[in-house]
Amino acid sequence: MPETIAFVPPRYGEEVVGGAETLVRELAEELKRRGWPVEILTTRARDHYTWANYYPEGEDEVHGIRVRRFAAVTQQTDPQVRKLHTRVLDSKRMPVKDQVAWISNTVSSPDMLEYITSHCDDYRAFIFAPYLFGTTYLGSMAVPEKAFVISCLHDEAYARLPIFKQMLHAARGALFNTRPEEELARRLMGEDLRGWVVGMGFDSKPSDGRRFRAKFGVEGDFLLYMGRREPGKNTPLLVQYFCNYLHHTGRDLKLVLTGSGHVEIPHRFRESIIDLGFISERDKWDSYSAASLLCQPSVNESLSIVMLQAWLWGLPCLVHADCPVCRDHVVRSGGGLYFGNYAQFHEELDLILGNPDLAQRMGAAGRAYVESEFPWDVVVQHFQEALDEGLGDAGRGEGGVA
Amino acid sequence: MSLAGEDVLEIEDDTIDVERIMARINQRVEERRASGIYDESEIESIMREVPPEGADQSISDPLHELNFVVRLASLHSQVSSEYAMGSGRKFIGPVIVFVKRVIRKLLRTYVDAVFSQQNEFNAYMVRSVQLLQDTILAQRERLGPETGRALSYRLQREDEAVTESLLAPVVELFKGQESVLDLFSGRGGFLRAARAHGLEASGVEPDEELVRLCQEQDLKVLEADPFLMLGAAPEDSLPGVFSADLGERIEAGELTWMIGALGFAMQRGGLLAIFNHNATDPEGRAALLRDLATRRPVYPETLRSLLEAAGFSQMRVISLGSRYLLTARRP
Repeated sequence: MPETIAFVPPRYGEEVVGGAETLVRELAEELKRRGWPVEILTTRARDHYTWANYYPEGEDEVHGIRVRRFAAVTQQTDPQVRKLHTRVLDSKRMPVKDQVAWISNTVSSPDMLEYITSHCDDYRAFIFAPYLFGTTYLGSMAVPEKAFVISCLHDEAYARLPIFKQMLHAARGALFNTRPEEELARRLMGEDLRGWVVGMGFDSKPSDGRRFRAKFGVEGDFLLYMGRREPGKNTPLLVQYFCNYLHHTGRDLKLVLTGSGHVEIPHRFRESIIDLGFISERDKWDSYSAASLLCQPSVNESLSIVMLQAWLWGLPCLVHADCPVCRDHVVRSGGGLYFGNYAQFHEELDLILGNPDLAQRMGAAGRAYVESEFPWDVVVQHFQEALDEGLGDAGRGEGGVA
Repeated sequence: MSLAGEDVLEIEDDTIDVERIMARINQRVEERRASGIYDESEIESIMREVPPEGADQSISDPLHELNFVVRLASLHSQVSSEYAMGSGRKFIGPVIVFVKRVIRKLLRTYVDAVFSQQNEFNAYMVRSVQLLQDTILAQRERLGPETGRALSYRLQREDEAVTESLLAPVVELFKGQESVLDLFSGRGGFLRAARAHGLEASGVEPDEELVRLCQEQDLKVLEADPFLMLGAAPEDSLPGVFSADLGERIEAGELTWMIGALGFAMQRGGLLAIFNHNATDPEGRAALLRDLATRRPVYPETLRSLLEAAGFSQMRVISLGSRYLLTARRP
C-alpha cells in the first residue's frame, strides 16, 4: 500500500508568504522530520495576485521535501470570471455550473490535475489547502476517496457557496485549525460534516530583542503588527486607532509594522509608525521579545500563526473581537484582550502598557496555552487519527514513525 | 488625557479572566465616554493631512518618488461614472444638468462595463508597482547595511591617518578653484584636509551613517545619490571634482557612466582628481582585499582610457605608495 502523503497547496516555497502556505510547509516538514514520506504537489506560482509562473517546472526540493511543480493557469482577469466573482461577493444565487466556472478560473493547473488522477494509486492521501482555490476544488473532486482539505475557513461570502459544501462532503474529511473554525464549518456545511481539528505545532526559536532594537533603531515601547498589510487584514483600522490613541494621549509609543503590502502612514505620525516591510525569519522572532504587545486586527483568521508564535515569547496580544478564532484564543488562554471599537482599544492599551506585571502575566498565560494546546506531538497524533479514521481500514497506513 | 502612570485600571487577580477584565473595561468606557477621550471625529482629517511642501523632498532615494507616485496612483485608481455634474449657465443650467444626467443614465450600462475593466487594470498596475517596491526593499534587506559603505569606511579607519597625510598635496592642486565637489565623500578625509587648507569643498554621500559622521564635524555633506546628482548637474557647472576609491565599489557600467557624466558636467579647464588604491603596492592591495564591498581594483590605465573617451586631457598619474593620484582636466 502506498505510504506517501501529498500536500497540495496552490503555492509552495521559502519565499511564499501566507498563513495557509506556512501551515502546510510547517506540517509537511514536521512529518518529514518524523519519518513520514511526504511530497508537495503545487503550481509554479509564487504570488497570489498574478499567479505568474515563477518557479521552474518539474521536480524541486525544499528543506529535504520533494516538490513537484506544474504550470499555473488563471483566468481571474477575464471579464466573465470577474462578473461571476462579483456575483459571489454579492451573495447572489448562482447555478452550480457558474460557481464551478468561477472557482476553476481563480487558479488551477490542468497538468497537476492530470498528474493527480494518473498517479492517484502512488499516494496514500492528498491534503489540499486552503479551500478557496481551483487547485483545491478540482483536485479534491478528482480524487475524493483520498482527499482531505485543510480548509482555513473564514466567515465570508465564498464560504457559503454550495460547491464548497459539496467539496468538503465529497472528500474524506476536513482538517481544521481550531475549534471555532470547526464550529463555523459545521454551521455552514452541516453538522454531519466529517472533520478533525489538527492545526499546527509551535516551537520556540531563539529571540534577541536587543538585536532587533539595534538593527532597526527602535527605542521605547512599541506595538507590533505582523502580516500582510491590506484592508482585508484590517491594517488601515489599526493605523487609524493607533494614531487616534497618540493624538488623545500624547504617549511615547510606536507602532512597528512588518510584512508585505502597501500601508498609508499619515504624515503627522511618520515618526511614530515604523514600517519595516518584509523582514527575515530571524528578525521576526527577535521582534517578539523586543515588542511590548502584538496587535492582530484581522477578522479573517483560521489560526493566526503570528499570535501563537508571539505568545511563545510572552507577548500579550490585542485582537479584534469580530474574529472568532483570535477571540477564542485570548479568552481561553488569558494571553490578551479583544477590542470591537476604538474606546476598548484605547483602554486596553492603557491597561497593558500601564501594568507591566499584568502584561507579563498575560504573556505567560499565552505561552502556557500554546505549549499545552499546540505541541507537535499532539498535532501529529491528531493528523494521524484523522487520516486513519478518514480513510478507514482500506487506507490505514503505518504513518511514519510518529 | 491618560498618560502613563495616570488613572490606570488595576487588575490584581492572580488568574487572568478575560471576560471579567472586558466587563471592567466596558464599564470604564461607559464612565469616561463623556470626557471626549474616545472622540474619533478629528482623526479622519488628520489621516488625510498632506505633508508641507518640501518636507518629503529628497533626491537621496528614488524610492521616495516611487512611493509618492504609487500613493497618487492608488488614490486615483478607481474611476466611476458617478462624478458631480454642473453647469455655469444661469437660467438654463438646471435643464443642461438634467439632460446630462439623462444621458449618463442611458449610457451607464455601457460606460460602467468599460470602467469596470479599467478599474481592474488600474488595480493590477498599482499592485504590480507595489510588488516591485517590495522586491526592491527585500533585495536591499538581503544586501544589508553591513556590506555597505559604512562598513568599508570602518575598515579603512586604520589607514585613515596615512591617507589624510597623502591628501594634503592633493588639496594643494585645487588651490585657486572656486569650489570642489567630493563624490562619495565617505568619512570626510578630503573635506577635513580641504578645510585645513582653506579650500571651499562639499561632499555628496549616499550613506546616512557616514553623512551624520561628517555633519557632526561641521563638514558640508549632502545625503544624496551621487549618480542622481551628477545626472541632474547642468553642463559646465562643476569647477573641480575629487573622488576617492572611484569605481572600486560600483559596477563597471556605473563607472563608465559616471566618467561620461563628469565629462559633461565639469567646467572647461576644471580639475578632476581621482585618489584610488594602488593595487601594485602590497599595502594598497591589502586595503582593497580587507574591504568586503570592493568589487575590483581600478588601475590607472583603465581610468585613463575611460577619461580619454569622455574628452578629458592633461592626464597625470602620481604613485603615492598604497594610493595613486590621477588628475585630468576638461579641455
